[in-house]
Amino acid sequence: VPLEEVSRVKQLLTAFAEAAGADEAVVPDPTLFDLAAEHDERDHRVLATLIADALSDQR
Amino acid sequence: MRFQISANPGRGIRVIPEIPAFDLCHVEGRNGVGKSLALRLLELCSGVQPYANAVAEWRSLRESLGSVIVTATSLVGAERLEWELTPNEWPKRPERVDDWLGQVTVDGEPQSLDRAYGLLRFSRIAGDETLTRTIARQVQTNAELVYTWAERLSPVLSNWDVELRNLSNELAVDAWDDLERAPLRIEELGEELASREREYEALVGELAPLRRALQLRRACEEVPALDERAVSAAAELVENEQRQQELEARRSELLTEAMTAGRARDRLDEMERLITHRTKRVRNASLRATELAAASKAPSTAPELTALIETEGRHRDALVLERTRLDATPALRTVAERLAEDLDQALDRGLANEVVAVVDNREVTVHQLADGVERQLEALSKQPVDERTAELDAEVGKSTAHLQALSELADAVRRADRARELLDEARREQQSLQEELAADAPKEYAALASALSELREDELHLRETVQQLERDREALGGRRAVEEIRAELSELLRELDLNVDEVAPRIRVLEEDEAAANHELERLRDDLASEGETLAAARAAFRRAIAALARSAHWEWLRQAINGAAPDPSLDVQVNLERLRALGTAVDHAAERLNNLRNGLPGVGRQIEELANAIDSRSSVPARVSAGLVRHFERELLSAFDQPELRTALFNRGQLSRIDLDQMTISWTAAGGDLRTRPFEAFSSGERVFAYTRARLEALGATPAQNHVVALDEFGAYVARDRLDELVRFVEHRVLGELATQVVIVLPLARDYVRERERAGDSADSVLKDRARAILQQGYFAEPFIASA
Repeated sequence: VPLEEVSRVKQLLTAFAEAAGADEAVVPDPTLFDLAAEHDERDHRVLATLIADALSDQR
Repeated sequence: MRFQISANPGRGIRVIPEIPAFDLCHVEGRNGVGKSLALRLLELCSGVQPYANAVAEWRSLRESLGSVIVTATSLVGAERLEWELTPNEWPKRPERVDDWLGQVTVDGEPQSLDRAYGLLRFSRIAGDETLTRTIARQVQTNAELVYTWAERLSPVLSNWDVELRNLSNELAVDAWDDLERAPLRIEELGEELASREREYEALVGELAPLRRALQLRRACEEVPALDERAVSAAAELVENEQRQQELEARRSELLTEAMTAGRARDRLDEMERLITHRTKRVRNASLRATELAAASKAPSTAPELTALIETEGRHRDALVLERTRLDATPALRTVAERLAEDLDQALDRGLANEVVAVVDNREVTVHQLADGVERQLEALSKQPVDERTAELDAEVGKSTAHLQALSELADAVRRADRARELLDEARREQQSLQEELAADAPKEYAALASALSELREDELHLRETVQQLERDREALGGRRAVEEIRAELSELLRELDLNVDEVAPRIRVLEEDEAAANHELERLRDDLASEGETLAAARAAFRRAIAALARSAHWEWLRQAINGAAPDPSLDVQVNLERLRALGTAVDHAAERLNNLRNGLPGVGRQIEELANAIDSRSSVPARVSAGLVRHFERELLSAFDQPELRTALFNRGQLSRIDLDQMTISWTAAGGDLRTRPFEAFSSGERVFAYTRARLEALGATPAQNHVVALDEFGAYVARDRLDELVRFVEHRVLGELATQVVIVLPLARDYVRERERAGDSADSVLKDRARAILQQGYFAEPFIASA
């Protein structure tokens, strides 16, 4: 994985997300991008993290 | 360094075949011969992506270029460096250069791209690049980067989204509401049903004495006539029997007197006895059928009975089905008992440790399955039976008994019908025998036989009439006298507080209520059965979901992720339901985050591209472009331009303070402390561009590569402005040796060398001759740079 590219895209998404207003329909999540970029599609760790995060938010 | 490029491109693409190893190399040629393409291929070979902002050009190149071999010789650190490029395997978007580029060999040995990068760095500087263009290109490069990642991640995110949808399907979401709602609804319906049944019973209770009163009234009216008819019928029967006896006696006499023994006559005798016997059978069978019909309150004709048995059979099947849906225990017990028997035999045959099933990837032996089945049988035998199930059992028993009674009645009716058929058959044969004998038998005998036959027929009818009258009488107050019946009626009417004419209208009103109540009861029972089915289906789906999520190897990752919050068959239904609900919400949130990333990445790319286009076209930044992105690029560009070479060349060594993309201005603090702000365009005048180019050359800086080649492309404007010599002097003194091992200056064709060579004839110098020949042969020439050229 080209880490420098991942880091640059993550910075762009962070800048976008920080300035996004409530009316912004779709705001890509920089942390999720970082996670997705580093894992293979057969690797369930990204899904596991997403589900664990969502359950933790509910609590 | 000498570069050779061997290619066979299609669709009008051309590339120059060679750049010779001159420290300061002058390449000049016609437009379209592939000078710039050669430089870009060399950039790719040294790990630089020159098409980052040119997707369409990149796609055209990968489709049309074909295989290319690039060779570099006369270099430091190796004798020969070679790349075999395979454009048809390149990615669709101009991604960062990686192993997809092709194969690299150093002195004939395959090597990694990093080894090649350590040997060669190739930098191309375009002479037509203004500050505005540089800024736009840098921003656009980021847009392409985001697009590339959007494309790369899209299938991955889609696959994860599919997995989340699989998980969502596994949660049995449709069953959740039913699991909570159906038991409440069943309880409500049960209560309503019980209440309606009580109302119905009350109605039936109210109707019973009224119906009795009506019956008694009928008895009072009909019993006298009935008794009279019974007496008359009995008398007729006695008379009939006497008449038969007389005729029999007479016939015997006639037979004795007139008939000789003969086989036909013997047969006629036998027939007489047979008819007598069969007549009794008909009487008995009819009597039995009539009694059974009265007991079952059913018709006594075969077609009606068949229809009634079918209806009752369907009713009982429906009850049994409802019983099974409410409680599958008996059905399960039957299956388990059969299974236990088979497994027992398998154990006898020594198959105890053989695998008989695979459940959730776990092997189950005969012994384990037999053990499990026995345990379940024990559990099933202790299963309690609820109130509704007990009610259904009673109804099933009642319906079965009714069906049995109907079957018995049907048998009796069949026997009676058959007895009649046999009797008719015997009579027909008797008729035939009599006809046979008619010729020689006395006429009296024939008349006697006929009369006897009629009498017997009448006797049958009379007996049936007597039986029917007895039954009617029984129904109308038993054997009691009319006065007794009338007294009971009077007492009943007094209790009911009605006069006799009010009974029938009152019954009609109550019977309408009874029919409506019955209809309502049926509806409630149907609703109850339907809710029972819904609940059973929801429970089954719920159990399947819990089992899969708790045990399936497929969801192992999920169990690890939610650590302890996974559904578990050993837990209470409510706890599992809450866990499934929480999981459902979590899956929705996870899917939303995934989709936001998948759908949002191209959107961010588009906004960056719009920003790049606005800068390039010097128009205002569209309002829809995120302010966050604009500020990000302002900070990034400020950092990129804050280099000593650029500050010296463009900002009088001032300190850069801000790049404003909304205003397209750049601000810096001058040496004296004044704050200065200028639009990007102010840096596009000829002199500024030259200063900017020099600054970019200086900014190339040192490189770890052993050979650094710098190519100056698109410098036609410099030639036109007579600035080329100035640039070359700068390159000779500042760039060559210090920043680069070789500099290639690429120019468009400045003169028509071919025509000049023709005009000069024999007086043409060798330089002109060589250039004209090279232009004719391959469209360009390459030679050491001569400053005065």
